[in-house]
Amino acid sequence: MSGFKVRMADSREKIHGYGKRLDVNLSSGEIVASEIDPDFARGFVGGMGFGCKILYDEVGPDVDPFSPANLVAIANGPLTGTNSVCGSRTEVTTKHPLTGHLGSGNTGGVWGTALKRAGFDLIVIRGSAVTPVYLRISDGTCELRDAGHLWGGNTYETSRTLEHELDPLNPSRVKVMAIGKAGENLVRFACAMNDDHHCAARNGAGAVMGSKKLKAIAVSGTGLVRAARPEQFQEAVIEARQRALACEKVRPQWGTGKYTNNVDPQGTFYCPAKNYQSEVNPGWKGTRDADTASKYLTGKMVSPCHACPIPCFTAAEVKEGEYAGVTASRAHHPGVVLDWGGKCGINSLPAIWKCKQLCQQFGLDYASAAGVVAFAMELFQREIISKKDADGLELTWGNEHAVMQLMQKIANREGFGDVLAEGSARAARIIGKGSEKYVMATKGMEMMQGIDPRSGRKGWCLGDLTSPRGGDNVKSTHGNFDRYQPDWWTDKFDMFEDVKKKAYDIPGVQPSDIDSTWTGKPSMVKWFEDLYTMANALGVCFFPVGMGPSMGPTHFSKLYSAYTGLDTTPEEIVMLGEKLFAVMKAYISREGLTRRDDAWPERFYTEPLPDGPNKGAIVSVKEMSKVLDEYYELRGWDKQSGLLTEKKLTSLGLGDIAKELGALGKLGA
Amino acid sequence: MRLGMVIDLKRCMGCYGCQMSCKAEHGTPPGVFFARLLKRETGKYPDLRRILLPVLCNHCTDAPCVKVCPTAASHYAEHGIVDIDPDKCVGCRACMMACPYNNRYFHDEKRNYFGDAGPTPYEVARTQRHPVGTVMKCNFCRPRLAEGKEPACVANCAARARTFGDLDDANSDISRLIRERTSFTLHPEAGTGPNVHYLE
Repeated sequence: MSGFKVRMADSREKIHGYGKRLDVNLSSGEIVASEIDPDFARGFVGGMGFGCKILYDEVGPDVDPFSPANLVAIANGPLTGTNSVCGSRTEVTTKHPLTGHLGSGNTGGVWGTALKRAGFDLIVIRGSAVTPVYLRISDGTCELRDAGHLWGGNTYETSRTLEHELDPLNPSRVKVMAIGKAGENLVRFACAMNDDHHCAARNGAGAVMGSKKLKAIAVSGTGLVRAARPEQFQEAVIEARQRALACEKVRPQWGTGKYTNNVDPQGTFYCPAKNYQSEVNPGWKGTRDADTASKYLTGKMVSPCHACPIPCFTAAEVKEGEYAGVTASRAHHPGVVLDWGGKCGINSLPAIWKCKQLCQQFGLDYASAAGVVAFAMELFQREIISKKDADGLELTWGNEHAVMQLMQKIANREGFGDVLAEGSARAARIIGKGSEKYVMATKGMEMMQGIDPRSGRKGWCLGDLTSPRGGDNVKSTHGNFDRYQPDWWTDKFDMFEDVKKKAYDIPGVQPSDIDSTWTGKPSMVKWFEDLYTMANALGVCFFPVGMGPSMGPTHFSKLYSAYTGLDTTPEEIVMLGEKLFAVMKAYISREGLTRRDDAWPERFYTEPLPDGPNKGAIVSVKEMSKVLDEYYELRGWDKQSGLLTEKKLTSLGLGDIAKELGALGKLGA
Repeated sequence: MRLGMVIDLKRCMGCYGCQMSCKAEHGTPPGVFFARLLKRETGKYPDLRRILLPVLCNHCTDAPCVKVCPTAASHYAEHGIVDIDPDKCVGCRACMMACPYNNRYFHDEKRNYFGDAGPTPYEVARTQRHPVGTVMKCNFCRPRLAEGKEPACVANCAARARTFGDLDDANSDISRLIRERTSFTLHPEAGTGPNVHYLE
């Protein structure tokens, strides 16, 4: 394949710690390596900042996600690959084929570290290849190779083949990011998997890579990563690590695992059942809770992320029964259990893990996959579709065998699976007959992580609503900071005092009830949105930021300053977070999203919960409107339209974006 | 007492005896070699030279891997030996990132030498020491030291290029060799204080 060029660095000073950028054009086969522009690095930090800015600059509203004009930007943060607490994250950004706007997903593991050690921090993939190819990156070099023999294989097989082919003596040194069948067949919610168990999901990058005929990216790197001020950096790492470990002690073990013990009837963590129709999951205890999961644990981690002191990738192995031989990483992770076990009603953990494994092998986003399956099940329950429509599958709640067959059909786009592969919103348009009512999606993406806004924690839920990419709150409020933990509460949070006061010091509300009031939530959500954005830009996991709120702007500024040698203050870190969040918002605004899209599916406003401890709960349109008003006001956006304002954008140093949006009429007053 | 090793590059003939004996002693999985031999050619014909460099964990006095380990699995054992406690290791691989010598390995999946034929009894016995999901490396053959034996690579070096001993004892063979001959360590710029020395 054609050559690899290195463009010389310009005379401007390079910022310490950033690897090179790779511009890969699959249409022409040209690959150019160059230094990352220092102004770009300073202004947009890395990771999500890089990805969203490049997407904003190059992919406009007229670009179809599957056209060669769409791009995939894979970006490490400056702290990715260092020994900073959870410094392992890589952001994959593209235009999402499912939602048609921002697709931005974050992945961990060691793939990003290998990329950094190979000398690169940013890969921008444009164009489209004619025949399947894969990208081979190894210590400063990069080339496109034929992937004919890999096409059609699942992600595990692709990784094994490439590892043994590229480094037969030491296969584990090769790290592979690959797409599976789902990506090849352009399933709109396909994702790219790396290190077998990690994926940058919720962005459709797998499908976009499939449309570009890019099967995999295999990386091996042996370079060293050094901070500009090593001693200062080490000090900052140790301080942050000690806090993360101390916080880990007071929150449930195994990542977020034990929450699944709290699912109904009297727990604090409710799990939507049957596509959000109810909150009651009969027989949860003993089938899907964390205590049951513990029986399958092997006591070791599977593929935990690089440099993580609080790993959540507990391994489980099913030794007997129908699913003997199924292994699960992150076995306790509630997301998977709540999505498959709650939304689809599957009542056995081994079956849930099998579903997860299938998702990993096909390269499917498990949350969207569970979302479309639950959607189809509800249509079946309401007799909108028949057994015949569903290719003979009995889509009753909890029918695990039907679910697995349906997933196979989705990944291969066969029969009814071809309809569901379009995502639930598009599928509803194809099916018609009033099925739109049962699409549980925000901004076009299926909702995940089972919290029902009718009864759930308010801080968590508001993040769901305001998230630019839609469908979840993983980039904003996916955490524990609104759940009272007496041993680790606001006195230990790394948070500015004024925000703390507004968000947590609410007259007449006890700290233990803080999650059930909307008061103060806009401040809380704004703070954590900016902070999570910064974590994603720096290449740090959000777990020590929000799940156990131990790290904050003080730690980020220390780590970033010591690593790059650019002095920053905690205030600047928060401001940068706000700026990068505004870039995301600007992108979706240009795509035509407004305040109208900051809304939940109709069900939450019209159907009160039919049973359970929160029977009768409903979301009030009026109350939500008030909360959103306050949120927009805090952000400095226009209340009427929910759009950015010129004043705000200019103050964040995004004057060029303000100019463009202004000309398009996409700015608020 | 600070244990260390000296490798005489004049004596080393590149027979891979160290690599093989280490493999036999530790029963490492396929592709993993705690003691490796690097071979490289330099110069241009006819002035060619082959460089042999046996490498292993340097058991650094100021070990970056120990510093970065989030769970204290990498630690200083007796006499300055750097070892990993597999029970504490969570497999985050920060140490592999920090090690300037690339002498650490991650055991990511169980593999055996004969594929589908399954592991040999020998492999079953030895690989138990290396749980999947943990990082592994040379430990100067601590179990052998406890029995009063030298590390396997030292005992099996046919050219007697390797000397093992106490670097704190000025009268030990190893200290004498370092003193009397021209010696160097790898990557001195990393400031790790390696305890494996090479004689030119």
